[in-house]
Amino acid sequence: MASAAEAITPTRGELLKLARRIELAKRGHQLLKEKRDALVAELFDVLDELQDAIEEAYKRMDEAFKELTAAEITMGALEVKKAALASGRDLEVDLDTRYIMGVTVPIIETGDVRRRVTERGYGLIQTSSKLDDAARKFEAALESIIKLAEVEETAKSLAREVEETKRRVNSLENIIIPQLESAKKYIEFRLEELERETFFRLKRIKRAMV
Amino acid sequence: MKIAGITDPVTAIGLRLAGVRRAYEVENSAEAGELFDSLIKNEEIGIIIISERIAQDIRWKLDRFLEERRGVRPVVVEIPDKVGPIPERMETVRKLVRRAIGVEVLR
Repeated sequence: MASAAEAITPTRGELLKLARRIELAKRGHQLLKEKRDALVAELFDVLDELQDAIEEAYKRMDEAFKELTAAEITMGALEVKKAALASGRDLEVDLDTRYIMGVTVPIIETGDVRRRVTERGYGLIQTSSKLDDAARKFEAALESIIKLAEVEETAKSLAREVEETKRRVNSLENIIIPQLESAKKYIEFRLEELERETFFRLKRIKRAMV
Repeated sequence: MKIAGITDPVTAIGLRLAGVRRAYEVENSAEAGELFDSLIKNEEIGIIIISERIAQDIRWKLDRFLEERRGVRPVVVEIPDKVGPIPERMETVRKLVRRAIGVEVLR
């Protein structure tokens, strides 16, 4: 902390200024700590949601792959592939943002992911109902994947913000506030020293005058 | 905005059946990397769905992208392939959480 002490001039004005800065830093520290705790609480909630979202999406993907295999067995892999290529639409998603305590997180909105059989675009005569099952399962899976995307992204953003806030709390607590306080002590010490010097000098002068 | 997929051929069929037209199949990590780069530049793409095993191959690219991304677009999400989930799936989130909170909290 020597560097902090060297740069300051030991005057009363400086002392007052320092006291104000310490006050401010402490208040900021308290606020950041509160923000950090709130963020952590929020993060815990989102993490619960994330676990569920992952399980859901993974279960549905697994089911969908099973149906796909079944469809390939009944129709042949090539036919399935052809049907899949015909099954085009460009699903529109809306990517919006919201704020959780100043953290930007996404909200994803889609129209209906699930379609009716006739809306899927492949011919119904050449294809088996197994394919419809597979498509239905994949639509369901896609729905939960989109949900997962949103929740996971939210969890990541929150975790990053917690880390950043924690870093700032720590730097205030362990570096900035101690530095200011030691500077304040230094000034106090110097001022006392000056006072003693003045006092002593006055005594000397008094004695000399007598 | 649209959804795009970077997956193996089987998953691509599945995504197409679900109505994702831009389900691209990739053969190797170089292809995946190139595709990923072009997709993140495309303003049209809101979500990139990527197979876990492919994501593992270009993990450094994904990590760097997430570090540098401003805003939320595009959201990247990893999904399992036909073989099933990989054990590392939760690693990215877990790492972030460990750094943020300091302890393991995920099951």
